[in-house]
This record gives sequence, structure tokens and C-alpha cells, in this order.
Amino acid sequence: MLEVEDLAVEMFTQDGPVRVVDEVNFTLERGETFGLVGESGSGKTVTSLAVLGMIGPPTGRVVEGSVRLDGRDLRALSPAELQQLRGKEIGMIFQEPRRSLDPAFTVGDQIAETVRAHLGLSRRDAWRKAVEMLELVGIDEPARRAKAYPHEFSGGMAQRVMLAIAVSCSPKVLIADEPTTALDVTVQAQVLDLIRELQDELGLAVLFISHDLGVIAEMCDRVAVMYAGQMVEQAPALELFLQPRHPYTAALLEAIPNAAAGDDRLAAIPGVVPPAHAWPEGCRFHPRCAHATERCGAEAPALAAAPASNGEGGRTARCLRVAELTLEGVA
Amino acid sequence: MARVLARRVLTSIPALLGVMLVALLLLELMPGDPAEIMAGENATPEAVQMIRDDLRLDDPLYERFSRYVGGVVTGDLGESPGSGIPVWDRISEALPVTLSLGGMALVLAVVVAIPAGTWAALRRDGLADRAVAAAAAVLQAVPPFVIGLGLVIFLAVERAWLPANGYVAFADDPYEWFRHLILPATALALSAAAELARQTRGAVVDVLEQDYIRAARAKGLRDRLVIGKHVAKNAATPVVTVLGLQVGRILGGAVVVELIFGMHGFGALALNAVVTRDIVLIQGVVLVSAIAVLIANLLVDLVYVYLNPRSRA
Amino acid sequence: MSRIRGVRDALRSNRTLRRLARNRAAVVSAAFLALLVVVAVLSPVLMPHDPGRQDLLSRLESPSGEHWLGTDSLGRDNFSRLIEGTRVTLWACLQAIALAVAIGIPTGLIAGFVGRKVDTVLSWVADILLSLPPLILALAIVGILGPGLTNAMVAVGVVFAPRFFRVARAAAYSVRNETYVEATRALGCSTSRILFRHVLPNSSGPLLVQLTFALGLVVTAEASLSFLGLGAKPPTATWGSMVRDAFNNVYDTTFPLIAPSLMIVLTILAFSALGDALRDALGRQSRVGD
Repeated sequence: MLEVEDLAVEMFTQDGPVRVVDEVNFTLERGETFGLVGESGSGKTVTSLAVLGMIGPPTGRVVEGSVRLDGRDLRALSPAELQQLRGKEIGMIFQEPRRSLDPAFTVGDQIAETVRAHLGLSRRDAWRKAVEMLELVGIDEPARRAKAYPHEFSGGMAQRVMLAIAVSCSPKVLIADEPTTALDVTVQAQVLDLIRELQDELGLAVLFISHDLGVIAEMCDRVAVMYAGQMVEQAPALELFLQPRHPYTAALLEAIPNAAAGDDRLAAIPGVVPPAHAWPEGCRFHPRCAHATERCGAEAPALAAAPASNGEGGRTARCLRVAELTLEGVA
Repeated sequence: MARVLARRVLTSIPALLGVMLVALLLLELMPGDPAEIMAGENATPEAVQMIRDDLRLDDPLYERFSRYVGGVVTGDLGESPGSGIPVWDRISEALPVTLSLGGMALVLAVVVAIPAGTWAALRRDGLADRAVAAAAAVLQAVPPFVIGLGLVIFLAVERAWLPANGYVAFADDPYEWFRHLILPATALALSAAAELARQTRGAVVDVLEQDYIRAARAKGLRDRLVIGKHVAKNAATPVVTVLGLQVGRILGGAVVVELIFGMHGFGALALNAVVTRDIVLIQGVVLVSAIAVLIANLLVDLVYVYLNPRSRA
Repeated sequence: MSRIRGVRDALRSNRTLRRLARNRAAVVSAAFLALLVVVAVLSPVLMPHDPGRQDLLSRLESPSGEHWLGTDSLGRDNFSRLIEGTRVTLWACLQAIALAVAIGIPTGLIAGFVGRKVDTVLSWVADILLSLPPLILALAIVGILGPGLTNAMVAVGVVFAPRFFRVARAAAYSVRNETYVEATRALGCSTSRILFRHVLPNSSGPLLVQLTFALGLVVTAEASLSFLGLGAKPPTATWGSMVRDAFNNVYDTTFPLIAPSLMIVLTILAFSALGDALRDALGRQSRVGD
């Protein structure tokens, strides 16, 4: 349904344009949850904003690639058409829900304005719909709470409001950018449950972005791992976790603190994520890779098919040694 | 809302009393004998004594103070020594002129500055932004009286497009009222506009960087709505604050501008009071100015509460 | 921990000076102001004529070889009056600022450092002064003291004192609980010594910025007051009084307005640019008390 092909994005910095996302490919089907994992600076958020068409001058530009929603080329749309698409066919929620709500207006107003903009409802109908949506996302006393202001909501409640806004026009796709990262652990579970509920009810395709592997494991059907602006691995979630095919994925999995396993040391990945203007030659991960060879520093690997444990296709990895390496996943 | 208003009025009372005290103390701080100075150089001893009696200068300070406060509350600001004309009468006659002048100046400033500042912020670091910043910097450096002089010379003296002085009441002839006010109001408006434009630009730039603006765009709201609704309400706070501060500046600037344009307003009255060393009138002027600034601040506070739901907690 | 750095430290490291030097507007402004000071100091030498000498037969003349900027309403040479005006104006403004600083900074430091009742009272006074439109307050003070340049500058000084009070108070307040202050106290330093030897130098950054901006405003104030006829009395020449004289004769000739007005505007611009540059050069540290 949502097809992203060869997406590349440049950001304009003080030192000139810098490519921050490169060769990103993925598809999202109706009803499925696709996870995008990576550390900060890997390009996940930029990718999602590029899908929405929100990367443009003066911040940056989409250099190449295509984004297709149900066959429609989103890059070919005019700004007005893109504005109609956002919020209506693709909804998005962000990491800091309380900061993503305008403190000067009631939450009811902020849901209603979305609905009025896209569905052309009257003020009264829009307000009624806003109350409905608040009820849908599980906020008590929706009619009263609709007249409240964002600062009166906790983080978890605010994220529910954001979800209400995002799904208010029954979109096809929901992009969730680190939706639970800023929330307490107990609240996280509630919000994740809500996302799944909404997905079932509305048949949404969900693009779930996070750096938290645990959350990804819980929510996603398929996962892509991003590093230094590129996709380094893509696989069904279970397979990715059981048997990763890219050293970076394996390293991420290893770095998850595991009290039960009795390790007394945290396994960190040596080195740091390279900044966008200083990506290494060859494989971008090779300076930090435990399995790197000389060839890895010279040749930049392409995203190629990787062996899948069930014999079927659907797995890719960006590693020259993908056929040779057997990497450990979580047991 | 009414509660906030009441609270603010209450907290301003000490300041107001302080101003009245200062106004009264002005007499005490005069080097020499106030009565003699007010009577003038060629006054007879009887005239001087008459002033001293009229103003009851021999009474103790606290008595004079309480009498003064009592008078203020009933609208009696005293009488100018010598002429005996009630101070409040002179002030109330002069106020409409200055209110028209100041009002038009504020409106002009807002109408020019806020769009300019917003425009500059939307094209941040571009040519428009730098042009507005440069214009604002220059305008702020030019005192209103220089602008007033320039305007009067080029538009009224050298070419008689607009009248060079005088004031016509709105009730008498709206068109002439406007023609007589437009030049002096512009003189006052330009430096206020400069400061306002800068503040607007800064406020809009700050708001544009906020997460909720990105979220509003992500939900597909049209740019016009994002700016006209969300940016506007959130950027308004610092702008309104500056606007309130400009009221005081405009009141001061009015003194000079009214002189240049021959208008008999509050500013001209203040000047007259100083020139004739009419302390009672000066006291009245100081008090009324302080009240004007107070009212402006109160209005700003009220608007602030409306703009910021968080402050209502 | 608040990171206030003093001007002395900044200059010692030369980083501020270098940053200032890179700002073209600041350099030009500083040069212009320096030129004004030179003119003021050398004024007796630079004036071609006696600025007070009247020549009623040559009133309001246009510029000529004899009188480079023409003559005023009493036949006096405008160019010489402009030069003298530079000296008088600069000196008057300096006096006003000195008064403002002398009143504002010590009281501000004490209020911020000692706090409690002293602070309440002093802040109350400052708030009252600040609640009045500046020019009206200046007028009131001139009304009490009587017209004249000195009195006008006293008025201006009093009007500007609260600004310095506020900045000094904020600086002292934020430094009050610093460890080094406790340390010097423990060593037996008296309060005033602490204030002047330690607090003041460390808050000199924002004070200097405030000073520069205030100087520009003081020039405006002097010009306004003299223009109103409350400042310099004839035959003293300041830029403001020259503008007034020119204005009185505006129907005869508009030329004499230009030179003094230009001087006023350029000087204010110069102080503005310098103040902006100083604020940027001193960086985040200059934000204290703003």
C-alpha cells in the first residue's frame, strides 16, 4: 500500500547540503505493522517526515526516490494536495505528545480543526466528532475533557489525544515516531495496546519507529534496521530477533541488558555513530564491526537477499559477508 | 478573569500610592522655597504667602498626603497657583488630543510592524528578514522628534500636502481630524513600529520551531491556518507585552511631537507646566501618566491571561 | 551554577575583543564615537569661528566658504556651533550616565546582595520610577529643579538609574549564593568589599552592555530636553538646542536642521550597533539581568 523506493534525503546545514538518508526501500501493507529501528541519527525520523512530504527548503530536500501510496506518487503532488493527504490518509504521532499539542487551544479544538479541514464538517459536528474520538482512545469523560487544555493532560493521556487526532479522519497509514519513548513504562503498555486496537478497528498500516527493540518486538510484523542513513537489514520480526543477518542488528540485540542471562557486564557497541557528513568508506558500519574484513572497508555493500530460515524470501541484509556469517540472536 | 483583574488592581495600589507620594515630595525636593518659585520672579510677598496658604504648605506632610490622596479619589487634583484653574480641568481638556494621537500611533505601529515582523520571520535569514531588521535598527535610532521634523518639513512646509500643525476634533470634522493627526501619529508610530517588528519577528521565529507547529503541519492544516491561528496566538504574548511598554514611550514622545505640530494635548500641557514651574500641574501630569501606564499594563495582563491558558491555573 | 564572566576576564582572553573586531558595524561605530571624542576634546582648536559670536547682518545664511554650514538665526557660525555642540552634548551625556551609574549600581548591588527589607524598599522605589514614562519623569524633575543643562542631565541621570539598579541587583542576586562569595566571607571580607571587588567585576558584562545602550538613549533624552527648551540655555550649543533653533526658523530655511539631526541619529545608531555587538561578543554571559 505504501511503497518507498530508493529514497534519499539531503539536509541543508551550515556547511552545505548533507545526505542523511540513502537508498531506503520498504513497503507497508494494510493491516501490518512495520518497524523502523535505529539509534538517534540513523535517519528514521527524517525518513518518516520525507514520506509525509515535510522535508523541503529551507531544511532539506528529497534528492531521489519515490513514495507511493496506493499507486499515487506522493512526490508528484502539489503542496496543496500534500496538505490534503496529511492527516487524512496518513496520520502521524510524535515522541513528545505534550509538546506536540498547541498549549493555547483546547484538545477538542485541535481534533475538531483537523476534522473540519479534511472532512468539511460544521463546527458543531466537528466538536461532536472530537468528543467521539476522545472516547475511542479511552479518555474518560470525553465531553468534559475535550474542553481541557494540553497542560492538563499527563504524557500518556496526551499521546492518546494525539492518536485521536491522527486517526480522526480514518487514515490508511499511521506513522508513530517514538510514541512511547517519553512515557513511563506502565503507560507505555497502555498506549501500545491502544495503537494495536486502533489498527484492528480501522485496518491501519502502521509505520512504527523506535530505538527500543523491546517495543519493536512487541508491536511489529516486519522490521527494518537503519544505520547511518541506510537500511542494513529487513526481515520478519521473529526471524530478525532469532537470527539476525547483519552484524549491527546482532550487536544491538546483544546490547539489550539481560538480567536473566546472568551477564554482569553491559555489551556496548564500540565506537560512535558516524555523523552524516563523515560516513566511512565502504560499509558504513565496518569500523565498529566485529566481523569486518579488509574488503568491508573498500566495497560498499548493497542491500541484497539474505538467507531466510524458512526458505522463503523477504529477508535482506546489507553485508558483504551475509552468506558466511552466522550471528546470534536472542534466545 | 475578573478575579485576575481585581488582583492586579490591588497589587498596583501600593505603586500608585508611591507615585502620589513622589508627586507630593516633588514639592519638598525643590531647592528653595516652592511658593516663591511658583509665584514667579516679580511676585510680591503677599502673592507668595497666598500661594503658601492655598497649598497649605505649612501643614505637616502626612496631612497633606492624605488630603492629596483624598482629593485624587474624588477627582480633585488641585488648582494651579495664580490662575486657580483646576488641574483636572486642564488635563481632561488636553487628554482627547493626546489619546487620539497615541491611539492612531499605536494602530499605525501595529498595522505596519506585525505583518512586517511575521513576514521577516517566515523568510528567516533571507533578504526580507535582513531588510526588516536593518530598517528596524535605523528607525529605532531616530528619535520621534527627528522623524516628526522630517515629516513636517517635507510634507507640510515645503509642500503643503498636509497641515503643519493644529488639531481638529473628530466630532467636528473626521476628515480634517485625520489629516491633522496623520503626520504626528506617524512620527510617534515609526520607532514603536521598529521595536514591535523586532519582537514580532523573534516571537514568530521561536514559535515556528516548536513541536506543535510541526504537528499541526503534519496533520495537513493549511499554512494560512497554521500561521493565522496557532502561530498568531502563541507569538502574541511577547508582542502584546512590548505593545504595553510602548504606551509609556508614546506618552513621552507626545510631548515633543505636540510641540512640533502645535497641538494642545497632554504633552504640551506637561511642557507648559514645567516652563511655568506650576508644581501642582506637574503633580497632576505625573499622576495621570502613571495611571495611564498602569491601565496599559493591566490590559496587557488581561490579554496575557486570555492568550495563555496555562496561567489560569 | 551561573556562568557570569566579567569584562576583565573576557578581555584578558581577548576572545571578546576579537569577536567585536569581526563585527564590522561595531568597528565603524567605535571609530565614529572615537572621532566624536577627539572632536570634543580638540574643539577649541577645530572651530573656525567663535560659536557665540553673533552677526545679525548674516542671519540664516546658506553654506559658504566663510561659513561651511551656514549661520543660525543670530548669525552665529553653524559649523563652529556644531563642534562646540559635540563637546557640550557628549560631556552632558557622560555626566548623566555617570549619575545614573553612581546611583543605580551601588544600590542595585546592595539590594541584590543583602535582600529582604532593603531590597523590598529599593525595588519599590525603582519600580515607581520605572512606572512613569521616562520623558514625563524627566520633565517633572526639571520642573522641580528648574530649566538648565545641568538640571536636565540630573533628571536624565535619575531616569536611567533604575535600569542600572535592576541589572546590578540581578547580578548580585545570582552571585549571592556562589561558593566563592561564601569563601571570601569566611575569610573575613566585609560586604562592601565583596560587592566591589568580587561581585561587580564578575557582572561587568551585562552592565557594560546596558551602559552602551543607555548612552544612546541618553543622547536622545538630552536632545529631546534641549529641543523642548528645557536643557541647554542660549548661548550654549548642544545638538538638541541647535535643532530647536533651526525648527523655530523652519519657514525661512530648512538647511540648519540637517547637521545636528544627523549627528544625533548617527551617534544613537553607533551606540546601538556597539551595544548589540557587545552583547553578542560577550555571549550567553551577558544575558544575566536582561
